[in-house]
Amino acid sequence: MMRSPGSDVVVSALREQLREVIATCVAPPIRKELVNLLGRPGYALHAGGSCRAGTLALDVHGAVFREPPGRSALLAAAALELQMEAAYLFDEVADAAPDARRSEDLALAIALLTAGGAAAVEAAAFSGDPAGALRHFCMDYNEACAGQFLDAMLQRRGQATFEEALQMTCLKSGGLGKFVTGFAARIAGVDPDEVILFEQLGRDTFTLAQLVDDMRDACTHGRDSDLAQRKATLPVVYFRQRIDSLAPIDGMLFPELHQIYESSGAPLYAAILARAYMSRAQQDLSQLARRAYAVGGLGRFLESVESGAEEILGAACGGLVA
Amino acid sequence: MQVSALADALAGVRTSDSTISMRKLQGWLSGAGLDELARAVSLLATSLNRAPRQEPPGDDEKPWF
Repeated sequence: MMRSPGSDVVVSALREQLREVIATCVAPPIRKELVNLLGRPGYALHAGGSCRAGTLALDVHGAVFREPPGRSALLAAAALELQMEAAYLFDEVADAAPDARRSEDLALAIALLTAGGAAAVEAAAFSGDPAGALRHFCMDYNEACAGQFLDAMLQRRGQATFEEALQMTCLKSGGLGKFVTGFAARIAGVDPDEVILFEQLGRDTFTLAQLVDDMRDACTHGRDSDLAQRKATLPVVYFRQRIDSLAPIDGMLFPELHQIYESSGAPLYAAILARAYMSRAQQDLSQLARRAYAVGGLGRFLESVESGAEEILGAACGGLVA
Repeated sequence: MQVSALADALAGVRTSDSTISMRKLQGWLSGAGLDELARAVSLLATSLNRAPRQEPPGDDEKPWF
């Protein structure tokens, strides 16, 4: 592995580590099923899968050690990626209509969680404080679980305040970012005072990414849009508090609702919040650089999120602002 | 982050033709002591008119949540 963390070579090593964890920590009858699952589009073993959690964890390792990852860093990255994949799977099951595959996928989600836990135990053995690292591993993932719960609860309730929507977003996705960078930093032996800086970067970067994703999904066509599903994302909450009488009927949106959504100010509202979190993440990165961490890989990770965000943030203002 | 205050500010600066002045919005937020949001408005304003609309991610790209 001669190239920097985040490169194809490192992602290949991460995928190899994921396969090893599955081969050694998962019960034989479902190993093949888990590999097949992670080979679905978007998941970690698919050729186009981004492995965001694992690569971010390896970027934290690169920031601390300035060298390619060894076994402990790869195990930690695999552990984090497996937890992230479990969260993806849970979210997919939660959002999809019930079908015969649902129970199987839920069982596989739990298998991913426990395999990730096993990898985390092995990774933590390399750290100076294994019990402390594992305690944070569990507690921080719990934040994301709390966010998933709030997401479902607020959607079922059918209404949410702005503060509740922000709390859900920060817990659900920001919590995962904190979980990733915090555990990777602890395994790398970062001083506790400075682990917080890595956690802030993870939290703000993932919150930014989620806000952009929420803007993208708010008013797409069909039943899958967040607006049609009455999700409690910030742009949807803004829209519904301003233009409640045009709420969707039977999960379908009026064709003209897209134009009304665009001009409601909801995309601009979410864009301003996303831009604020982008600034926070950039400041977090600067703080790490000032403490002499090699933040090149982390900077590239943030840039990859920003490059997806800039266009949609700019488009959010089109025709509305003067 | 003051998410309710931002929503109020957006409603407050809308003109009769439904447009929103980014400068007025920034001023309103600064005046209310919401400097972080005011800076975000300023930064966002600089990116206006140079970003084409983006297509949704492809099947290979996992959304967040």
